[in-house]
Amino acid sequence: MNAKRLRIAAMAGLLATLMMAVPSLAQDETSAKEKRARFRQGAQLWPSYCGSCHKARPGGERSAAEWDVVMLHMRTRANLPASVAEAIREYLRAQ
Amino acid sequence: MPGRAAGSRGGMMSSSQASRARSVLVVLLIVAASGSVARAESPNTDQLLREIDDLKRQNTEFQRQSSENRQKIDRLGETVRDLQAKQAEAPPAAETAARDGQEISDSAMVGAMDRYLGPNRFLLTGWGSARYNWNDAENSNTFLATFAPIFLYRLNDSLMFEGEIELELEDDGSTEVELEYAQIDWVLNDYSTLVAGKYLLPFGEFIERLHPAWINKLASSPLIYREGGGILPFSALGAQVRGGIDLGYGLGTHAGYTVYVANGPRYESDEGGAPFVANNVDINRNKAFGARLEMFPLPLDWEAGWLRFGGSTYNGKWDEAGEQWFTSWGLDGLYWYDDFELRGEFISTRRALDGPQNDLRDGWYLQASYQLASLLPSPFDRLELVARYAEMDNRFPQHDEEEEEDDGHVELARVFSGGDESGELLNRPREISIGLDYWITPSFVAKVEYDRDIPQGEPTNNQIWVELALGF
Repeated sequence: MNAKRLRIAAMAGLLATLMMAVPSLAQDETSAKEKRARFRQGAQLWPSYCGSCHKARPGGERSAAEWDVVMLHMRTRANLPASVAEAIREYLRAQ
Repeated sequence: MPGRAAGSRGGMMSSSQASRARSVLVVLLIVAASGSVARAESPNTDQLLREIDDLKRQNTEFQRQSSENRQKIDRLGETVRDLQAKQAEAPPAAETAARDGQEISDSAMVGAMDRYLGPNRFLLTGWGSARYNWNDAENSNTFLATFAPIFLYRLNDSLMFEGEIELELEDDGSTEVELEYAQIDWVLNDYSTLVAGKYLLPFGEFIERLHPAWINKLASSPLIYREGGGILPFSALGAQVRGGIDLGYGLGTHAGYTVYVANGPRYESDEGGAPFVANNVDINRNKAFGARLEMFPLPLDWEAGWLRFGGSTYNGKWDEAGEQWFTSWGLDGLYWYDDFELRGEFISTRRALDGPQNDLRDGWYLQASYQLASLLPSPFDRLELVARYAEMDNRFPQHDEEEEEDDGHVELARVFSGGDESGELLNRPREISIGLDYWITPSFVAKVEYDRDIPQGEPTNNQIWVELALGF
């Protein structure tokens, strides 16, 4: 009987720990999902948006921090909506 | 012996007695053994119970320790945050050292510079080109070079400074240095950015987006944008609000807009046909206004290509008295499908002059290109064919020294060779350009171009261009 109680207590403790961890895990998961979605969108947008004026330059040409600078410049120059600029930036940074 | 006999009698049992004794002994042994087994089983259960109690105690202890550790971690977190806040408020080490009169070590200086500049916030980019031009009519045969560094400085996600200097070699041996643009970009929200300073004129697409040599697919510019004889000024001083808005019915559909105010256009002279000059300090008290709207209506998932069309206008008073208007409007478009691209622009301008006649100029170009990627094997798949037709129509009052008159107008235009004014006045210039590009990388291109100038009513001309252009 004591062993059974011990198992129940252990299960309850485990459940409580999981419940405490769920909000932060869910937040991380949402953020990761958003990033993945932006990346996929950026991969679709990059050839057309960049390539319609000049040959689209691959992400590996610059570091992630340099793409931050370039994409802020291109957002202004090409009148890009924020969502488009952010998606392309996410894609180029990940190359 | 009696003693032995008595003893023997008294000490010896009968066989039945011995048998009973053995039975009793066996029973006693069994009982003893049973007791031993029972005693052995009883301590094991107790031990298990004790172990369970021990585990319980240990679990309780672990929970207590875990709780204490969590509290310690929280306290440490608060301490780290306090330290970070204090560090942010505190002057950098180099400044503190300088203030205290101490010698600034190299590492302290590097750290201070890193904090000041931030990681990769400053970026030097731009483009350069080396060209060769052969011009039949001018009997010229020369090499040319251009270097155009662009400085980008990103302060944070919403603030940036950008500037471009273009250095070009001139006929007289000098080097022309021109500030192409120098502007501050301030992102106000997702849909608008404030731009202030000297900026490229947001009119059409060639000036802002296509003029760098590594982007322009031909070595020469369209007639309407040639230096000294262009139909519009290349840059303006003032402020803009611009941005883009998702149209919301498909990926890649959006509208872009720009509205701006500027010092306005300025001409080299009051005569009709005079070229534009920079209006760095406004010559009148009026400001010019302009706007541009562009649309990207085709969603990418339709797989029907990429379409963009736009309209632009730029208007302002051009004379010192602030009485004469310059007005302009233009349309531009692009269709891009796979390896094929078609783009063009039309611009019409009107400059009011004293007297009954005005200075009217318009022009257009259409450019098609086809990358041979799907037709040729590597490495020839990087070849791209380009063809462009361009023409201008300039009408303005005859100057005293000009002799031809046609219903009060003289149809004149300047033809410029590759961006350099030849000074030759021709009727209605027209030009056919054929080019072949080889894209070594997406930002490094080798171009060969043949131009056939066919101005109306004037002798024709031939030009050849060879160019290497690199964007960096």
